[in-house]
Amino acid sequence: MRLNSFTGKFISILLLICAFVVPFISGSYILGVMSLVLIYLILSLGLNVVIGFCGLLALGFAAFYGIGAYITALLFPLTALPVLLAAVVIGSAIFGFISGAPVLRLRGDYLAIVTLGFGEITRLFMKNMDWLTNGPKGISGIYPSVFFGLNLSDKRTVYYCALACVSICVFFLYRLQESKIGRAWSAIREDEVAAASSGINITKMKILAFLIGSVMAGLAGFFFAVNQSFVDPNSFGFDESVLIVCMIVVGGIGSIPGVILGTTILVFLPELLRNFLGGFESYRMLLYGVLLVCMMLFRPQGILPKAGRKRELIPETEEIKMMKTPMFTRRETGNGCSA
Amino acid sequence: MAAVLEVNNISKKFGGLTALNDVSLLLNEGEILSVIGPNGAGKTTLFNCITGIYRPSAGMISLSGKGVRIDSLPPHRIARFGIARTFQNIRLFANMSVLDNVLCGAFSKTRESIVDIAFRTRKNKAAETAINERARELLNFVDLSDKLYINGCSLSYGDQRRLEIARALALEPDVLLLDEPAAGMNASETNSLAVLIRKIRDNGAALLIIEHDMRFVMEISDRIVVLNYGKKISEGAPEVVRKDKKVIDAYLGEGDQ
Repeated sequence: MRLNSFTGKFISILLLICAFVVPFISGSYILGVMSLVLIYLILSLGLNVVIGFCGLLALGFAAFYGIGAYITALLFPLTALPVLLAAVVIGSAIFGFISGAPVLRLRGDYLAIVTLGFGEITRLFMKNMDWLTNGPKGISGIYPSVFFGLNLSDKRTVYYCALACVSICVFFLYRLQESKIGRAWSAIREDEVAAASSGINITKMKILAFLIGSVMAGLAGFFFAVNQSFVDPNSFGFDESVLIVCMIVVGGIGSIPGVILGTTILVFLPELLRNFLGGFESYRMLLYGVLLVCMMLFRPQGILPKAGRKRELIPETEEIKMMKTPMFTRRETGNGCSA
Repeated sequence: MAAVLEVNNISKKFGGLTALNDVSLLLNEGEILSVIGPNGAGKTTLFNCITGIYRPSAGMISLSGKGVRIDSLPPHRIARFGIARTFQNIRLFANMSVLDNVLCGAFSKTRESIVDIAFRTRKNKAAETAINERARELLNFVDLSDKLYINGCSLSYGDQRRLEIARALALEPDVLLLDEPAAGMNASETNSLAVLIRKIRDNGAALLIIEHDMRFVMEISDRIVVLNYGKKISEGAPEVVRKDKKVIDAYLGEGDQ
């Protein structure tokens, strides 16, 4: 499903209209859940750039989310809204660059381990730097000053701003995905050596993916902080990082519609459990785990996979089978195609 | 004839193993130069040194025409200087269409920024149209123009080789390195590959080819360099190399005399 196809456009506009009328027809509870969906969407779409587009398994993504939230919490009394937003964007970009640049030369598992470490370090800083972050007690009362009638203390305003942010992100992500940058990311994901030999500066492209991801996470953190007007270190731990990865995996790694669907499902699921199966909400993480295992067993490409990835998992065609006869396999090992 | 690529006294050591030992070669403009040798002779290592995947332990590699030394540059910079390659184990970008594979090869040929892309400026549109046309031309050139939107990996083996060559050509290389292009091909595929290689040469690129298929090598090469245990043991025209005793010994083992 592509945004520039007719059905793609139609569905996008329909979803946007639905999202637009939500605050008029629902109570504050649904509005709260929907805001959470939007915040997680910014986050998961950002991580999708890193994991889905570029193939970098980053596990400490909640750190950037937390950094955006803490920058908001610390700076909102000092500045007007546009400056605050700029600070969030620049701050998370700097953190993205500092953490990304040295580790992006690593591959696969090593990158996952290092980003995991970075995520934990960030959380521990938030927890222990009492003089700055108020430690485990967190920072409350985050109400940015009204800017030209834009009052972010009002939940509806936050909702609409987050909706605008998600829409803009989706729009630009589609453009990026279909551009030479998107192709370069796919190339890096599929084969780094071949990508470099094709003239693609892999370090630069990886850092770009990482920067876009961390800025989006920072923005999500901003909305999170103003939406619940409270931040504490526990919101940005390893659980959270895993949850965001789950959202991408359930929906379909690399697929924008898939990630939107996956995120919506995983945010609504615990709420449904809370309402209809009271007492089961504490099994939330268990449920995520079971869901993830089932996805990997029965539909590893996700619910709405990206077109290319679907092919990866269809049964072998006769032609490919023929290529795997001993005569061909001799020199076939190592080819991305046969993997 | 002017040299385009100069390899001077290259050595590459992996721990205690010397994969390349003081190897020199010259690739001239419009030349087809083959590198042959028994398995483990260091042929692919030589390719990896030239394309920057390995950094040579000693020696110098330079592009004579452009007057640049490339032996300490990263692979993407070397590629942008006009050295393209294919791989022994075909390395296509999986899950991407034939066309997209070639477009990736043309990555460095357009200069639009991320802002151009985000706002789809005229510059971006023009660049996309230009490289799309170029990619289609190239796919036409390698006879894959009817398979543009197929997943590159579902092509037949011979077509995958051709696609990899098209991707390399998208860099508009002065030097094209082919690592065992005829491996696993049947006789008719090998023949059409020879035709393609000559067409590429006629378009102005110099080719450096690693190949085990001797009939193919003898037929297509202007000159041949023979490696054995990381050392160059012979060099010259096909008929000279064919009769060189050192080459025969390297392939068949030394006779008891």
